[in-house]
Parts: sequence; C-alpha cells; structure tokens
Amino acid sequence: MPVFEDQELVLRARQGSEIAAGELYERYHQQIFRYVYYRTGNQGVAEDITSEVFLKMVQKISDFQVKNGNFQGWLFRIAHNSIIDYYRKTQVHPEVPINEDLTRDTESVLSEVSKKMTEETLLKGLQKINEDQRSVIILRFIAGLPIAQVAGTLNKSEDAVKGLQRRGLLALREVLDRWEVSYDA
Amino acid sequence: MMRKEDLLEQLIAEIEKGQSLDSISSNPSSAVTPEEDERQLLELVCAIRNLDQPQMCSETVDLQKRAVMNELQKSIQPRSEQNRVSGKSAPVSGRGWRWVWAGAFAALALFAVLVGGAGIWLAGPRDAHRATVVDVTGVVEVASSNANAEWVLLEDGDVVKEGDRVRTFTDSGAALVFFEGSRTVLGEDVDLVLSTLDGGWNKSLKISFNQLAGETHHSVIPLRGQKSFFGVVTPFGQVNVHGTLFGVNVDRDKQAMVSVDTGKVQVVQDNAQVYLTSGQATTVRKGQALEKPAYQFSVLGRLTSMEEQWTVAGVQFTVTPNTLVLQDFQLGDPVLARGRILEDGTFLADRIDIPKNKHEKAKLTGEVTAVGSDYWVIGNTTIWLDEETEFEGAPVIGNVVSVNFVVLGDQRWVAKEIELLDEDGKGKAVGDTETPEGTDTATPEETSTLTPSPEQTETVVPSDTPVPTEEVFEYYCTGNTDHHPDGIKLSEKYNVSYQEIMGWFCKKNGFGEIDLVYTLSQESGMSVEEIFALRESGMGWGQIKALLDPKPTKVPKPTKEPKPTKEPKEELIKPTKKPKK
Repeated sequence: MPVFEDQELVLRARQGSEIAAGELYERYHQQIFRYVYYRTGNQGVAEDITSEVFLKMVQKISDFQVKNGNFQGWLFRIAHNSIIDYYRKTQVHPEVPINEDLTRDTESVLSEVSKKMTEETLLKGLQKINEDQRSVIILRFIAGLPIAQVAGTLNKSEDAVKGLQRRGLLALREVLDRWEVSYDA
Repeated sequence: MMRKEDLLEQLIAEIEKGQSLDSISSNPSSAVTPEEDERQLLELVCAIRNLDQPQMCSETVDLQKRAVMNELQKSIQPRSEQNRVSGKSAPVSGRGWRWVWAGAFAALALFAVLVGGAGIWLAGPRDAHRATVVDVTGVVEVASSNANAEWVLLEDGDVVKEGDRVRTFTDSGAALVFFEGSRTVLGEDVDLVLSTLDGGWNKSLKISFNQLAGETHHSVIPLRGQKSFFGVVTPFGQVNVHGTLFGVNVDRDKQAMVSVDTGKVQVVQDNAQVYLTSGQATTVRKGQALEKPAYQFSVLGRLTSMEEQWTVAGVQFTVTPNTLVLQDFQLGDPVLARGRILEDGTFLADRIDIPKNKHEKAKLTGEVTAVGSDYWVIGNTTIWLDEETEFEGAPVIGNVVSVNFVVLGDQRWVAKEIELLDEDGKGKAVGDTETPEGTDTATPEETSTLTPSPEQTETVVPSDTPVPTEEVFEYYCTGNTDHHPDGIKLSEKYNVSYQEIMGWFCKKNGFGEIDLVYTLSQESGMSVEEIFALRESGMGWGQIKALLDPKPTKVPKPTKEPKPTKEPKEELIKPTKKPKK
C-alpha cells in the first residue's frame, strides 16, 4: 500500500476501505496505547481503552473535518475523553497529591524502585504528580506530540501547556530525586 | 526577556530536531543555552524519550485491528441499506389490486407512525423531563407536586421531575444531572422546586428552579436553540444564564447572594437588572435596590478584631447593618465571611456565618491591573508571589483571576494559588461563542453597560481592527500605488512616513497592533523596532506593557503598600537539587 496522508486514509475509510481503517490503526495504536498506559498504569485497562478509542474512531470518522482537522490530535482527544470516562465509571481518581503522598510512602517506594530510571520507575513517578502535568509530559515526551497538539488535546492554551510542561518536569525531578533515581545519560 | 517555560520549550525543540544535549550546552552560536536547572530538566526529557516503552503484544494488535476493520463495515452497512430502501418502487400493474390495497394500508400505517412520531418529537426526549440524582450524601428528600405527597428519601440514580420539590438536610447534599449534561449541585439545607424541566431533541434545555433556601452551584452547558433558558428564581430576584458556572445562596426571608465563577449571569429584580461576569457577585435583598456587581472575597479564620472593621485571617473588612451576621460572634470565634470588594477597595461583608472547618483560608477575585516581577496588583490590592505560588500561564493586564492567599506577619498578602477565570478579562460568557442563536428571555443582550467599567485606558489589547486577509496584504504590499486609509491615518497620527507604517503592516502586523506599538513607544521611550522585536520573541501585549511600565503607577493606589523584604525572585518554582548519581 502506498504511503497516504492521514486525510486521504480517512476519506478512503469513510468510503468503506477496511485497509485504510487498518492502516490508521497501525499508524497510531502504539502511541495511543502508551498514552493510556501511562495515564492508567495498567496494561489490561490500557489495551481495552485503546481498542475502544479505535472503535470510536471508526464510528465517528464521518464527524472528522478532513479539510482543516488534525487527525492525530482528534484521535488523542478521543483517547483523553475515553480515559476520563473510564475514571468516571470506575469511580477511581487518578490524582495523588504530591505533598501528601510523597512523604508517607517514600520508604515503601524506595525499596521497590530501581535506582536507574526504568519504564516502571517513570510510571510510578508520574503517578505522584498533578494530573494535568502528567498528561502533558506523557503526550509530549512519550507520545511525541508537539505543543500545539497537546494544547488541542487537553483543550488548553499553548502557554498553559508550556507552563504545565515545565512544572511537571520539575515535580517529576523532585520525585525522582527523593527516590534517588538517576536519569543522566 | 524570555519566559522560562518558553526557553525550556525552545531547548526541547532543539533536542527533538536531533541535537544532543552536549552540543546545545557547548555551542556558543546557539540561540539559547541552558542554565544548570534547564540542563537537568533536559536530561530528564532525554531519559524519558530514550526509555524502552511498553508495547501491546502482537496477538492483541491483530485482534484489535480486525475489530476496527469489522466495525467499519458495520458503520458503513446501514447507510448502504438505507440507500437501497430509498430506491424507486416499481409501478403497480393493472392486475395487482391486492397490492394496491396493501399499499394503502401501509400508507395509513405510515401516516399513524408519522403523527405519533411528531407528537413524540414535539414532546422532546424523555430524559429531558427528568434529572438524575447523583452524589447523594446525608439526607436528601423529594416530594411530588401532588398536594398530599409525602417526602421520600432520594438515593443515587433516582430521578426527579418537573414540579418536584427537593430538600437537603444539614451536612447533606446531592447533584442533579440534566439530560444534556448541565449539572446543579445542592449544598446543605437547600429547599427548591423544579418548576420547569424540559428540553428538545437538539439538546435545547428549559430549566427553572424556585430556590427557597440554601446554596446551589450550577454548571450550565452553553444553551442551544431559541427557546432555551436556565434560571433560578429566589424570593428576592431571578437569575438567568446562558452557559456558565455560578452559585446562588438564599437565606430565607433575608437575602440571596449570586456569584459567578466563569461566564455571564443576568440578575433581575422587579424591573431592574444587573449582569455579573467572571469572578463577580451581587446580593439581592427584599425591598432594596440591586447591589452593583463587584468582585468577591471570602475569609475563614478566627475573629481577631471587631472594632470599626472586623479582622479575620489578617484581612480587614467592613460590617454594615445590611451584613447578614448569622451568630452572635465573639472575639476568637471561627467565622466564614463572604462579601464584595467595592470600587474604592473596601472589603464589604455580605454574610458572616460559622464555618464548617477551621482551616484558615482567604480568597479574592479581581482584575489584574498591574504585574511586577514578584507581585501582581488585583484590583486595588497588591498580592505578592513567592516560590510556593502556583499559577498557570503568563498574566495579562485585564485578566480576571481568583487568588487564594495568606496574610503574613509583615502584612504582605502572599498568593498560594492563582487561577485564571476569564482570559480576556471582559467577562465573556462561556456560551457567547457557541450559541449563535439567542434565547427568548433568558439571554442578556450584550450592551456596554453590562460590566462594571473595566478601566479601558489600561487595556493593552490592540484596538479592534480586523485582521487583514492575505489578499489585503498582497494588494498593498506588492508595489500597488493605492494607499491604505488606515496606513495614512497612522502616518499622520504619529508624524512618520506612510512607507514606514506600511513596512510594519507588510510584516503581517495589523494596524491596531501598529497603533499600539507607536503609542507604547511614545510613552516609554523604547523604539518601535525594539517593541516589535519583543512581540516577535513571543511576548504577549500585556507582558510588553508590564515590561515597559513595571510600576503600577496608573492604577489606584494599592490598599496594602508593597514592602519588599527580599530580592525579586528569579523563578517562581522552588529549584530542586540535582539527583544523586
């Protein structure tokens, strides 16, 4: 299959091309999965929500504005909303206030985390920071979205996202420092 | 002067382009070089980017991909079937009378279905006539409109309908969720009647409460359609909204307080009306004129003075005979005082009650009138920032903000948290941009008298000239001999050549922006070129204005004189140590 732009694949999928829909899935499923995984911290839940995101993608594909829209941003907005729905349904709140929790569980976490940063350490560290900051860091550095798309996904201004990015990194650094986790090259 | 957030983003962009951290740090020709703090953050960014990331297993991927492809067929199929059904029917032959009768029967049946359907359509969706009760705590009861109805306990998931009366008891509460997503939270001791509960298929909403007592908070999704309304009727006046977050507190037989978090709210009393915008409040009392909208304050703490002014948590406020004081308070008692900040800076208490908890807390809302390196002026009040202060984005003069603060021993008011309520600072309602159609009665008309006059002279938004289109740029910037009228006007206004003005215009600056820059240049002495360079560096107009005129000389004198005791902060977030390696 030739390399098509997202917009072209969307148009083909709308006309019933299974291959185009499959290609869109291939193109973005890992990014979406990683975003959901770091937001929920659970592999199984992340797989389920990823599946849900792509089913919604197909169901709503005629709503996507091909001419002006950014498909990747649109897909991440679906993912973001699906995560919110998940937390609403399960009544689990993802946010752990940093100051309250850090001091209490430092001892137990210290014995668990690796002294070198790993995916697991990062996941644990991210759970300790503010939810908005966490979303920005995951979208920006794990999903690899540019600032503008992160802003679109989270419905915030670019300036706000830059602020969250910096404060999120500072908070994460503080958490990792407390756990004596090194992350230098 | 670049913000730290922008600097960090620029450095991250370099890394994303493939530059190594060392090359960024050591390259003297680089546009920006990181300091130690930024370098540590960049190290963290690189570490995150370089981690082995989790993956879905290939079986799951295959299964999901197949499901997506199948789902596409399911989504497409109904449309194809519809197309087949709508194809032309074959003509009836002379021999097929029974088919004619059958057809007539079918037509009659179709007619009946259509009439029934129209009735259902006009009645609106079923869910529009009821609200779901959620988040029930304590004792919450409902009684139907029937005269002999008894009070029945409500639980999560129950529904209430038009005409029902709902009440909550002390330490109780619940939320009502309407069919299109709007939500009303009932605090303790609420007594209200759902006088109208209706809506249409286009998610138009018709909600009216008769609130007799207690405090409610409403989160209204921007209304749709001509007939939509959302209103709260109190014994003292009526509150109408478009789409917004607001609260209503009714003290039986005494007063109602209306406060707005974001958006715009109309308050009507007899023939008078006022409009509240983000952060504002008013109080409605029986037999008294509507109070002018003003920004709000609330303080919670022990009463330390009851002289001419009362003092709680270091904040002094005025108590008048109109203030509703709900207990016979003594010095040392914990109190919760809420009120308005008048134009002259007076903190006027509207209601003083016993607080639910004793954690000292102080909060105010207001418009940012000046921004310094480590303080903001909100209305007339100077609020200091320290390394603990949390806020998002860059402040712009004219923004409306909500500030949680503490009063220190040296009388400085220090912000703990600042939240932006309304970015444009002019009370733009949440629904304004999203509801092209106005409502019949509930929507306030936009007039120049809606908000308390927001010091237009201090506004730093460029004059409201439309953004020129590409065609306009092309026409005036490619050697055409026609002169743009705004270009001529500005060249005359600032006594510079037409070509100079058009030079800036052709660099894609609007005439409003050019006008602003020349004014700022005249006022500050900084050259036009330097100001445009600041703008190009990414600074907002509010920041530029603050930079050129950092002292709040043009705003009313702060009620609390700033007493700087330490050097201005380089950054607002506490730096942390480099990790041990």
